[in-house]
Amino acid sequence: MTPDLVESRVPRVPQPSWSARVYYHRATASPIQQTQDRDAELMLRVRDGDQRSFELLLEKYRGPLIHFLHRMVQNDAVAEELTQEVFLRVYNSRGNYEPSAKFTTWLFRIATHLALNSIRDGRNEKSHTSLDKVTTEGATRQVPDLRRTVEQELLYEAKLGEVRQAIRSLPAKQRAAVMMHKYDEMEYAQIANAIGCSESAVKSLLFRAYEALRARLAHML
Amino acid sequence: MRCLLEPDQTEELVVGYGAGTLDPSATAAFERHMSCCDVCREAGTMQQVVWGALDQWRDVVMSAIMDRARAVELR
Repeated sequence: MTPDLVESRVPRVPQPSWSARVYYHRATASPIQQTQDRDAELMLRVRDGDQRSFELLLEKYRGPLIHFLHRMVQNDAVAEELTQEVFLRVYNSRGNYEPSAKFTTWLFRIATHLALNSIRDGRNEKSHTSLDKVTTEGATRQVPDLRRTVEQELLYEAKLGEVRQAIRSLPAKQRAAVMMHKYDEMEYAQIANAIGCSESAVKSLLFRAYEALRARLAHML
Repeated sequence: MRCLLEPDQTEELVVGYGAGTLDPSATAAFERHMSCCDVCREAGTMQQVVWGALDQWRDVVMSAIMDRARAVELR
């Protein structure tokens, strides 16, 4: 089955309240939370053989998944491939789906698992369509900043290269945690579920990851 | 001066401060702490830099993805 794939809006979720001393401004209700029941309902229909419901889930989450996987593997072709693999696994596992688990948690757990395997196997390194080139070339082409001199442009690209390299140098689990925390604004519990560890382990994982990034990017201050 | 915060507390505050997600009162309290703690000041300041750098990188990646999407549409 190859339903038309349509980009959808990236779901934003609120951060958790961490402790009695740390609070968040972010909204308490998120699009993901608001649609959990709807997603679970759709997935139950998929389980019962309704392909249209599967297409609706695919349309809704393909965009967010591609963005997530792009950031994880830093390779557009591999991200596309992995996104399809995620949905294939979702479809193949429909018979075992239990609505007690959040659909998005389940989805991102599959995606994370596949991304970590891909990074481990070096699939993203082997492909010829690395996002490395696309990013800087795309940015220059997309948003040419006429106020920048050539020297400033080179410096800007060099800095982006350093950021990319710093992210890439993180161990796979740390990278996954940062991507989910920073770009997908996932809660600690969701990250923990996706990676398969405790919330406190996620906190430590994130702190170590950001600590490594701070050390690597300290000269950018 | 030795940092008086617990390590796990520091981790949460540094990450939250960099992300700008702390409550205003928590932010003010942490900034007061940073004014007399070199370790936390450096970590908090750098976390903001890292956060900003990751934002910049995200924008570039998204721009590249949108470029590709447009290119596919034009085919």
